[in-house]
Amino acid sequence: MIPWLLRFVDTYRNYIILSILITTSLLLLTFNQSSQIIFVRQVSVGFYGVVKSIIQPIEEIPKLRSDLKILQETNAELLNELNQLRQSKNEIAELKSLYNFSEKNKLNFIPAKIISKSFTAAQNIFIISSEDYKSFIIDAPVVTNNGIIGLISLVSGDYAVVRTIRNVDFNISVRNSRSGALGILKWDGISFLISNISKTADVKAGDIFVTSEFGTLFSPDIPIVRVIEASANKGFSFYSLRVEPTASLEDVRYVFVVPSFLKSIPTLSGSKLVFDLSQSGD
Amino acid sequence: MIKDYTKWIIIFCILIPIQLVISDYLIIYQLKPDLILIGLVFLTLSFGQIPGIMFAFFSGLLFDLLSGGVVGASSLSKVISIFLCGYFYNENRIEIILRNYTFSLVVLLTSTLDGFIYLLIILSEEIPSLIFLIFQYGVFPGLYTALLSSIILIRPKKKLISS
Repeated sequence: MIPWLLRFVDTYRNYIILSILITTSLLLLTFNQSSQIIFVRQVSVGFYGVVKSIIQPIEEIPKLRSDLKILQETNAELLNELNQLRQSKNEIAELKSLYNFSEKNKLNFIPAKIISKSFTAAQNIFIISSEDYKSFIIDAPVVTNNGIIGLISLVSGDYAVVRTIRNVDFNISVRNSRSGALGILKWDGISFLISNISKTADVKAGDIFVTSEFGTLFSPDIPIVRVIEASANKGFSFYSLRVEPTASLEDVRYVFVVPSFLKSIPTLSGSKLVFDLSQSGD
Repeated sequence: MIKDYTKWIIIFCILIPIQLVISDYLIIYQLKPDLILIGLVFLTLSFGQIPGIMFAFFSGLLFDLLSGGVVGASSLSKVISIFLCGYFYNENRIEIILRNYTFSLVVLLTSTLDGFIYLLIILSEEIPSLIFLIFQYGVFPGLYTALLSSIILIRPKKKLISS
């Protein structure tokens, strides 16, 4: 009997083991809801949870990368929004200053917006537009509340080209508003120079130079440059003055065209202009 | 022989956590490859039917316990499918089978069968579309697993097991 049994087991051992394993699996399936199996599963799942919690930071790396990308995009959008808000704030401040200026000086101001700026060494050109473009006149001065910007050189429809004071062709007669010292303002392509001011004249840093009565382009007493440094070089009879425009040419966005500042139009004679010179220019 | 089995026990101890955790990243169109089954087919074609079904039972049981699934479902499906896979075992042609596309074909058949049996065990209620489920849980994951198993064919000459 035993040898026969051994032979049977040896011959059919594959099927015997298969039957045992299938039976065990079916038993496990049957007792799936028993408390012992549930306990074993709880322990196993708990162990798996611990392992998973260790691995989780590594698993989260791709998600963190995508989160980082989203945050970077959001940050860029917010920065852009912040810049726009800052720009709007500056624009409001600029418009408010211009409004106060126009209120203080009862003249025929044509408000205009700068739509383009062109900076080259030889000359700076602005293109402006206005709803009241019909009042644009060639050679009409363009000013802000801080001082002079330039003058209109060309008019075309709604638009006008402004030659700024940064122009190598301009020689503007200027006068120190404090001491009355006279000189010639020039743009040499790099910086502004005031020539012909004798060492004996009273000039110091912070002085404002205005257009003089001897100029042919602008009405007198319009602020134009501020002295940053005044030095008397040895061996020279004239001052070497470092000056900057009272109106910032880089930051300006809105201007006034003032045809009444033209020398040929005598409406300004006798009136005193009030400019805001608290801000620095370039 | 004991040394080889110990090696395979270690391999399955690594494969099961990989299947649980890392295979989630290999999901394509909701199809998940069965890395444990690839290992089991390799083992069965190397050592034969009995070691294959023994490993299939215990690895399936451990997987069920760790994954929180129905205990006994994976072990039953794997035991039956690996038992049938064992008929492809030929001790004179082990290296040839493991080095050509017969291996991937066996993986495809075994994986499809495993998926189908597992589905029959899990779904107790009336099945709405059996054909769809056979393909969704049997044939397509089987194809994906077989495709992935072909990576084994490009392994270096050195034998993983010495039979």
